[in-house]
Parts: sequence; C-alpha cells; structure tokens
Amino acid sequence: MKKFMVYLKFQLKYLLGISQIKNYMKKGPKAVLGIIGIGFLFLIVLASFLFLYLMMVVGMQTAGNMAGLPSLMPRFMITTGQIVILFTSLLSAFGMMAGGKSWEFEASLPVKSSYIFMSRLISLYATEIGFSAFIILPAIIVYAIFNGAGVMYWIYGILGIFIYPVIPVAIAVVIALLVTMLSAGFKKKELFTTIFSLIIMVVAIVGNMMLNSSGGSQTDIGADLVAMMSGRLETLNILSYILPVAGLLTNALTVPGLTGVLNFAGAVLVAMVVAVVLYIIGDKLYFKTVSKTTAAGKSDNKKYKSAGTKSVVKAFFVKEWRLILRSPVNLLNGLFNIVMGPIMLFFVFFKTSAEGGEEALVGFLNNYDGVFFAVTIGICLFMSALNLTWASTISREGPAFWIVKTAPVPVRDQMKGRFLAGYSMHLLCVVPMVIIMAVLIKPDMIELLLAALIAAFAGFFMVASNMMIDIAKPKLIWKLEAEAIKQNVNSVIGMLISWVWAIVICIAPVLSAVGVISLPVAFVISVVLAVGAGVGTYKGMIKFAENKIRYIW
Amino acid sequence: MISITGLSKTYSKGGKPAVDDLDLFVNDGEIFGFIGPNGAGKSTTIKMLTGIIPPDSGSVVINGEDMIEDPVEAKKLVGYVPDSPDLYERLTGIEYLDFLGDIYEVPTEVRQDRIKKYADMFEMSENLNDQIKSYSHGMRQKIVVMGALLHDPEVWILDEPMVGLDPRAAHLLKEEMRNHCKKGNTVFFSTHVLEVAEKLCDRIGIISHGKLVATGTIEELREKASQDGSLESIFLSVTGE
Repeated sequence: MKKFMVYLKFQLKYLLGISQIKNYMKKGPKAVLGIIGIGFLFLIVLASFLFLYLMMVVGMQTAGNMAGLPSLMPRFMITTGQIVILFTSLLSAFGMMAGGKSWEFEASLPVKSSYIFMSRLISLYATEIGFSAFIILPAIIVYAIFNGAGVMYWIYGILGIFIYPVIPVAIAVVIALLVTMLSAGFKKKELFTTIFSLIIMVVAIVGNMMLNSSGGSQTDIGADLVAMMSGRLETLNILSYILPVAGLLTNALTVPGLTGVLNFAGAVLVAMVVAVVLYIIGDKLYFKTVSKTTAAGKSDNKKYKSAGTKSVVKAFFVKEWRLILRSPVNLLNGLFNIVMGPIMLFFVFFKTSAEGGEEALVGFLNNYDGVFFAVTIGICLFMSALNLTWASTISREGPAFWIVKTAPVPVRDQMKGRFLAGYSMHLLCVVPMVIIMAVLIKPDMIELLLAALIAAFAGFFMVASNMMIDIAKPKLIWKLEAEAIKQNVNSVIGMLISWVWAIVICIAPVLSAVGVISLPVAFVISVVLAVGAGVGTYKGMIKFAENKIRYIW
Repeated sequence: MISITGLSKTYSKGGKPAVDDLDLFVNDGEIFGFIGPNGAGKSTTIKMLTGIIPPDSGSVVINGEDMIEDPVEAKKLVGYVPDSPDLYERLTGIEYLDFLGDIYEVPTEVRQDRIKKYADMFEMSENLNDQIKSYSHGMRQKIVVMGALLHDPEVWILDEPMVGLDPRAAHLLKEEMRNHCKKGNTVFFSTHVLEVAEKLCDRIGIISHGKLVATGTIEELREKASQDGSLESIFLSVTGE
C-alpha cells in the first residue's frame, strides 16, 4: 500500500502538472506573478461559463417551482451533466490511460501494473472532480435557495461531487482501453482510434444537445423550460438506470428523511461497486492493451520513395498537416470543430423542421437584411475558434524543436508555413458550414458571399494571434501530446481571444441586422476590420517570431 | 573551419556561466574532439555553435559565415547531430529525410542518391517507410545522422553521435568522418568515449566548468598535462577529477 501511495503521489504531481508549477515558481517573483496571472485568466473564463450556467439553472428552477415541479431542475442537470463528464473523460482517457512516452519506463519499475493503472485512473478521476463540482454545486445551491435545505442536503451535495464522476470515468476508461485493444488489430490503428473517439464524442454531444433542446413550441420561456425538462423525463429515467449515481444522488438531495439517506447510501455503494469492477477489468486489460500501443507505426511496404516539395514554406505546411492528422490527440482537438460545425447546423435545422418551425427559421434569416449575414459569420467564427492547434504550433514541436532551430530557413518562412497550415484548417471549418447554410436556408447569394468572405478574412487574425501566444511562451517539455495541445494554457487563452474576436467582428453585422447600418456598410466595416487586423497581426506575429524564437529553447 | 571567440553563456542572472569566454579554432580538414565532464558546458557550446541558443557574448564563425549575424547562411554549412535523437515521431523515416531535404534545398536526384547511399550504409532501407516512433534508439540515431549528412554540409557538428549505434554503424560513421576531413572539411564532435576521441581526432579540446582547460593534439596534451598516459589520465589530470 505504501508503495502504491508513493507511486500515486508521483503520478498526481506529474499528470496534474503540480511538479511543473512548483518548479516554475522557483524561478522567482516574475514567474509567480505569471502563474497568478494565468490563474486569474482561468478564473475569468470559469466565471463567464459559471455565470451563463447559473442563469440557465436559475431559469429552470424558477420554471420548475412555478409548475409545481421543484425537483425537476436538479434531476435534469445532475443526470444530463453525467454525459458532459463522460465527454470530458473520453477526451482525456485516451491520452492519460493509454501509454505515452513514460509507459515503458513505468512498466520496467518494480511496481505492479495495477498500481500504474490505478494511479493513472485516479489522476483522470481527480481532473473530473473539478467538472463535477462545476455541474453540481450551482444546481444544489440554486435549489437550496429556492426550496431550503438542511445539513444533510449539503453533506450529500458536497460528498456527491466525489462520487459523481465515477461511472462516466469508468465508461470512458473501458471504452478507451477496448478501442485501443481493438485498434491493435488494424494496420492504421491510430486512425481507427481517432475515428472511434470522434464518433463517441459526436454521439455524446448530439445526445446532450437533444436532451437540452426545447421540447415545445410555446412562446413562454418558463413553460418552454418546463416542457423541455418534463419532456425528457422518460429519457432521464433511462439514463438513471445506466448512470444510477445521478438518479440516486438527485433523490437524496430532493427527498428528505430516511429516503434521502438510503438513496445517498445507494449512490455511494453503486460508485464503490463500479470502482471495484473497473479496477478488476482495467487490471486485466491494461497491461495487455498498452503494450500493444508501442508496436504502432510499422509499414508493410518496404520500398521507400523520396518525394519532397520544391518550397520550404510548403515543406513546413505539409509537416504540420502530417503531424496533426497522425496524432489522435491533435486531430481531435484541432479538427473536431470541422465535424461538429456541420452536425450542429443539421441538428438545429432538422430539429426545428421536425417541430414545424422551418418556415419561421428560414423566414427570420432571409426576410430581414443582415440577419443571415450576422448569424452565418457568428456561427462560423465561434466554431472555428475551437481549434487548439494554432496556439500550440511551437509547443507541439516539443523536444524535436532543435530541428527547426538548426534549419537554415528564415523564421519568416517557417512561420508562413505554419500560418498557412492553421489558416487552411480555419477554411476547412468555415467553407462547409457556409455551404450547408446555403443549402438549408437558401439565402440571397450576395449576402451568402459577403458572409463567407468576412468569415474567411476574420481567420487571419485568429490564426496569427493564437500563434503569437504560443511564440511568447511555448510549452516544449511534455511527455504526452495532450500536454502540448490540450493541457496547455496557451490553447485556452487562444480560444478566448478567438471568441472575443468573433464577437468584435459580429458587431457590424448585428448592427445591420437590427437596422442601425445597412448591409453594404456593415460589410465594408467588417472587411476593413478583418483584413486590417488580420494583416497587421500576421506581420506583427512574423516580427515577434523573428525576435523571440532565437531565444526559445 | 570553425572560429569561436570569447563565447559566453549564463542561463540565470547572477548564476555561474555555463560557458565562460571560450576561444577555439578548428582548422579545415580536422576532426576536433570536444570532451569534458558532465555539466562542463559541452552541449551549451554546441548549441551556440549550431544556432540553437544565442550566446550572451562572443562570436561563432563557420567557414566565414557568422552564426549570430547571418544564421541562415551559417546553418546551411552545418550538419548537426544532437545528443538525444528527439524527432517528429509520427513522420516516417523517409518523410523526415524529405523534410530536411526540402529545408536544406537538396535537389531531388541528389537527395535520392544520398538517401540510398546512407540507407544502405546504415541498413535502414527497409525501415524508412515506418514511422519514427517505431524505431529503436539506435535506429533513431541512424536517421538523425542520415538527416544531418543529407545536404553534404562542409562542417559536421556531432554531439555524442556513436551513442546507440551498433558497432558496424559506428565504424562506418567514423570512416565517413575521416573521408569527410580528407576532402578538407571539418568535423567537430563531442564524446564521452575517450578511446574513440584518442584514435579518431586530430586535435582535442577539454572543457571544464565552462572554460577550455586544454587543447591540442594528443602529444601536445600529454606535454601540457605532464602525463605520458592515455587521454583518460590526461583528462582526469586536467579536469581535476
């Protein structure tokens, strides 16, 4: 047990970045201020999401109370929140559980493979506790404010945060291990893993969207919310069987007395049973599965063929794309939006059509000058902003960074290749969405073209500014690719900046939609802003890189 | 030819210099061995030589090109093998070589001939289509060496190049180093294997605590250290270890 605790402490410190933060802070007051600054930024982002979530929860509770169904909101949020935890667990499970550069080192240690498995599992679980707190706490606080709560309520709520992620984490880990094991039988195993993870995530997101979408066509928001929640009761009941901790926890919170105690005890018992079963399954599968990942990458074709490009910029462009396409983590975090964007558009359109609202939707978008323009630009930019590869362009080089540092290629050309790779991803996101909007909404072609142009031009600033963030402070030391792209604060800051930029670009289109300015004027303002800021930021990024990169090591 | 003048580097303000006012000259046609204890400043010197990190002061000139003033031109002349073969693991061997061929602007036909030559030499022909992450350490070292030599640089800067190479590959690399210098080119390499340095190098430089404490042919070093023995005993005497 002692050995396990030592090993667990080491894993938690490393996988959760605690060691890195501690070492960084030893660099002096500037570094400490830097950490505080980043922490502050995180808090702002968290606070923004929390505010939106709280508004939704308050609205739902208000509606629920008015309809005489006070426990509807916590039941709905706590149950559907499990799907969110499943989604976040899946994003992390493949990277944290299955291998990584340290696997062979760890496997050679005189440590049981079950310790390695459990330590990684607990690290994954520890990261999900944060998400659990985010989902549960606002819901239980709002419920308590509206309906009152005793001491036991708060005990169940606080302790519930710790048992809440157990089942979604267990499902995610088992899926990750099974997919990794299955993919070992395929030549292109990483492609198999990537496609499978993509399918699972799309199902999780679409499922969550379906659960959260309005169930009625009333104009009264409160009634809409109640209709939406109560319309999903049957689904929630089914989910409660698959994810029993959520249902039992909700009962414990909303039903006082002995029933509450028994429900909470049941939730704890179920979580413990699942944890034990997960340990048994994981221990049997883990070593076998992970050892297969180390044999990846062999080709049957032994005849090589040299095929270079004739351009240095193109060489960097091709290299960027190759490395992203071949890495499941990079692919999912960089190009997931390309899949999700069109799916969301289709979902919203066909859901609205199914509820008989197609005519109203199309009419709203087409009959008022500028509305389609504003909506299309907004959707395209917000979806494209989810790309995490731009703000990790240098970080993803990792220990291989020496290759580009010793290359006789001006920094300008290197950055150009990276920028073009990033911008092409922006276009890959935007163009299909514009085409789908055109097919579904059948807008005025001029308005469509103007929206497409603005959405395209706005990408200059997004890609260049994100690259600047990573050039300023790249994360070159990492073991797992996820650390370079997903567990990289640059990606978060980049996404935030992209979203703010999307809002800024949408101001003129929105003003045209509400009739303050005409569409042509809005277009001119947007294009001047997009191109001006884009070109300026690109040039600034190049200059910044030329000055900064020589000092990066 | 490599000319290092007054090269210094300190990593943290107020801290001890990793390289302290280093002066070093390597002639054309010379294999220069660069040795020193762990933490002596070898890798830092090599990183400044190859333009990976900028020095705090001093200059590095490679065949007339200043690495600090015109790094692009200077880097074209250098083939570098790092001490740790960290590469783009998701590229195949051939893709990595093609990438280097592109950035060093090696013409296609020339590139193909050289890849074939080195692939046959290092017995890597059947592995070039595999992703680098499937390579053993030795294979990674071989692909790094192949990549460094692909553009036929005039100056080779090799940081412990034999580590991980099998005996045959190590022997072939040493032969290539000798042949390269016979053509009037320069090889600058660091190693911990003093026997290799003793047999292979025309001149040797010993660095300790960031300073060059001895430099010359093996005979000159023996004289300076008042030692008649092997390079090992000279090394231990000069570095005070």
